[in-house]
Amino acid sequence: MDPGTFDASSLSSFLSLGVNRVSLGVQAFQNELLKVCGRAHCLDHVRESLEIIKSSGLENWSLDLISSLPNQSLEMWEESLRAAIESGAPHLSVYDLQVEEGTKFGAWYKPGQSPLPSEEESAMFYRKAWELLSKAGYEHYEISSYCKRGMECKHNMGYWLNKPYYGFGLGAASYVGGIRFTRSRRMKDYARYVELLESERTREKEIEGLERGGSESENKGMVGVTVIGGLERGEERESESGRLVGRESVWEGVRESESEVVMDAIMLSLRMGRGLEVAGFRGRFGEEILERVCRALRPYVESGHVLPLDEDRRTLSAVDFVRFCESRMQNKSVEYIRLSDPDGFLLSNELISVAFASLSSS
Amino acid sequence: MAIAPFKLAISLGNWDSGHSISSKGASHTCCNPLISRNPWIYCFRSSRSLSIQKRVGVFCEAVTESKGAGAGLAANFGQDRLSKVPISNIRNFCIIAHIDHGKSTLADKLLQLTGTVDKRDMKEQFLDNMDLERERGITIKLQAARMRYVMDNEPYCLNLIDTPGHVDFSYEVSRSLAACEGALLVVDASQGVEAQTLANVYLALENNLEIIPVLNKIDLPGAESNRVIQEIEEIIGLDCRGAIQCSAKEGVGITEILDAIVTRIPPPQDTAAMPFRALIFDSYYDPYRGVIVYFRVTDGTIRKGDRIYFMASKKEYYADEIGVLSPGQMQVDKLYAGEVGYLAASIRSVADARVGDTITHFGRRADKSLPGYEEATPMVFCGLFPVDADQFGELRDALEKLQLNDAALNFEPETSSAMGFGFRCGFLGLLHMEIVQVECSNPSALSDPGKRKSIEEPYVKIEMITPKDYIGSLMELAQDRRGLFKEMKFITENRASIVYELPLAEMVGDFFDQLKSKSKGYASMEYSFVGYRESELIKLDIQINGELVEPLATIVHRDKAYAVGRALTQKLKELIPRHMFKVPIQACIGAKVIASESLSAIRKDVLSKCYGGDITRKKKLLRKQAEGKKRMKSIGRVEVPQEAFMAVLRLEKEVI
Repeated sequence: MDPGTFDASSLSSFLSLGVNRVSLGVQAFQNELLKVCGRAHCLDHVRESLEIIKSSGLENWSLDLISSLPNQSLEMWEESLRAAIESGAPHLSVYDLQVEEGTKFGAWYKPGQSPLPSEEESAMFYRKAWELLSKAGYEHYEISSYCKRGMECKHNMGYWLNKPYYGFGLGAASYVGGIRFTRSRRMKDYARYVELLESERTREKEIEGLERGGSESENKGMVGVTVIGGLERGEERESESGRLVGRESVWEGVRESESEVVMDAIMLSLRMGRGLEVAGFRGRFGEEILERVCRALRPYVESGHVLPLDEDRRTLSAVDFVRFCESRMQNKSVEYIRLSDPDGFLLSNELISVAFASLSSS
Repeated sequence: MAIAPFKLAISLGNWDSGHSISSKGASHTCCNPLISRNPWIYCFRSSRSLSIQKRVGVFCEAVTESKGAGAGLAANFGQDRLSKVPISNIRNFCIIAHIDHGKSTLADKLLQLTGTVDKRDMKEQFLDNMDLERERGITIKLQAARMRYVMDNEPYCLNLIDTPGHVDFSYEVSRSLAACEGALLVVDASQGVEAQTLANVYLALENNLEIIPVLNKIDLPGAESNRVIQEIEEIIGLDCRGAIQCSAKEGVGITEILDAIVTRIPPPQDTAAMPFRALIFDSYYDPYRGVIVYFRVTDGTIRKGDRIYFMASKKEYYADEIGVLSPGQMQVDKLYAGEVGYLAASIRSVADARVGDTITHFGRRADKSLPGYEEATPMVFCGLFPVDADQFGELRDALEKLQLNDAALNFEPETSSAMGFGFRCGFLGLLHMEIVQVECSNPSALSDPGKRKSIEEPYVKIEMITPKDYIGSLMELAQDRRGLFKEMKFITENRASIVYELPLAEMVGDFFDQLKSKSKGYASMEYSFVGYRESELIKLDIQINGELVEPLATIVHRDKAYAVGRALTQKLKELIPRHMFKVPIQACIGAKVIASESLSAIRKDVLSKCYGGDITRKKKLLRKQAEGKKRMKSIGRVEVPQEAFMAVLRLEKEVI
């Protein structure tokens, strides 16, 4: 929810419906920065909404902050961080600004160039957040997520632990039965889908489709098999991948291939403070893949960007890691492999892609 | 022009029996005058020829005296060109000319007029075979053509041996000259004597060839025959009293040239009785028949099926097929001293049939090989590496294929720490290299500067011939390239010859192009190797993250070291991706760093958000990042893309 868009009564209505967690899109504690990111709220709204939440008795809530905004100074950032800490928020999502193509920011600003901060300054913001928030007792459990003990966001964890989920709405993403699919982006198609779903037969077919992962077409390469969740027999539809002809419901997705699943596991687990769980990884994907990943990450263990941990989550030394690798990962010393905080997290793209590169044989 | 009173009947279709005549009874009056002198005369059917598709049965008919006249009949006689004539009636000649002075056009006209090539079959500039040649208008591969010409009732066999005009191929030129007794010196009547003309004329004179000066392009408005004749007499010292004026394009003077060839160029020596010796002056690889060898028979006779022996390569073969080139290949049974022809013997590669080698009979070997054979010595080298290591085999195959047709190309395997497995290739010169189309890098095999006493580099002598307007800028050009002025003289009032000596390294690259551009194309140039000189060359090393990268090292002149060092380090900084640590990039001479750049470390490379719908997209991004990594070469901890090596080598070529 955004500050300024709700009051005490609407909040209590939501809570009575069963909502048990609120994420407040604060972003910044400076009016000039709020204006720059095109927010409709101001600092007063922020304070008000914080009050409302706190007085509602809701214990599970989160607050968003963005760093590397245009013209943001380190002082302003520190100010925002302190204010966030002071608010007592049990959970903080702290995002480094990502400028995306096709957006207004993408047209106006270039990363690393004024008024956006340089790469170095950006990195400093990230480190500052880590410094202040850790001191304030927050756990940095994911690249952009901090929480007080036990207050991890279950919703997000679902994504990061690669659990299946349904998404609803225009263009919503779901992940069921190993298939990642997206619902129709257009209202008309979506409405049709809902209509079809209301018929019993369609529902059964949909479930069947999901379970079987039947495919009309095959996508070559790493991406996996494209699954079309059917149209009515004989019906045709244009989709991103071309013309679809087929069965009953209206969605399309991709059944992930094994290599995709491996990459999911690596990428998602390394983004977490928990790290990659060695035994589980080995069990699921096999020894060879684990070996490749370990070998690829070895130089970064030595440089301190990657940390091997034992079963008690104590950091092991680089030498221990080497021994572990040489024993072909048989000695059970290393139980977790995580990226270090903040250095490893800051360079997570590099490290994850290094791991990816080791996967294909060449 | 007198035309012999023959009549030729030409019929299409097979004519199965070889019709040979002995001196006993001749039903062939056309050959009559010859029979009494020579037992080797006979007409025989023409075989398949590569370019002329129809089978033509040729025979000489008994003739009645009839007054035929006109060039048309002469053209008909051309069909007869496989007929043997006595040695005294053979003329082996070549055409020496500067580029664009009209050699090929003249050759075409000669072929046409003698009926060797039908007007219909005429492809412009028949002798130019390869596409590259056509593009650049220069001849590279040799061809030969046997023509039959009748003068004063006598049939003559004229063998035109084509020569490459480019300075890189002087050895091949010299061998083809050695196959001739005479040469037509063709000079553009408006341009006058050029550098290339001179070089090849001197070669011809060295080989004791009879030279017939021919002034071409007299049809052009700028033609100044008298002036050019004067030039030739002064510069070359050739008596031009018999100089022939012609216009190859217009067809003027061609018959005079043919007559002059007959009257002035001496016939080959009659050594048909001696042990067989033939000089190889060219060869090429035919995928079905193996190497086709072009040769001039100096002594003795060769028959189809003979067992032959190559004296320099020490290989033996059976001459499965022999024939003449007229201008396409036409089979014959015998070739004797004085004649020019080809043979096919299932020879594997041109390296086994080297230009200048002597062919003799396996059984009855000649005592001595023909003089002048040389192993082609490459002058310019480069390293050739496949971008994708998997393609090493393909590269080797491609080089081997090239070598089939180019004995001067040599290559051997080479390993580079950065580039992997590849080849070091040797070329005769720049044009040669360009033909093979490769990139060049200077070899770097200098030892530690401390230990070395002195360094030598190859020098060349260049002679530039230019109109006087450009003397200044050409001298500047040469001096810019560390040239040493040797001499300058005026050939004519308006043209000068400037001689410089400069390092080969300075000439490799764009010297020739610069010469042309600074003189608006009017200047010409010849160069020759003159030995090694002491030089102030040093080895410039490149270090990346403190590690020496040998493949990027280069040899530069001391004076240029700083500029080159700076350019190289800057280029590398551009091309090497950033790493998680700072990467210093340095150029050094020995231990001394003379240029340095620093590639900053990545501070931040992270994707903040990764929720449900993002997962596929973010994974794709990271996968792309991973792909980029796979194309790198490791230099210690630093990953360097292949493109960086290529770019640096290219830069070295430009800057140095």
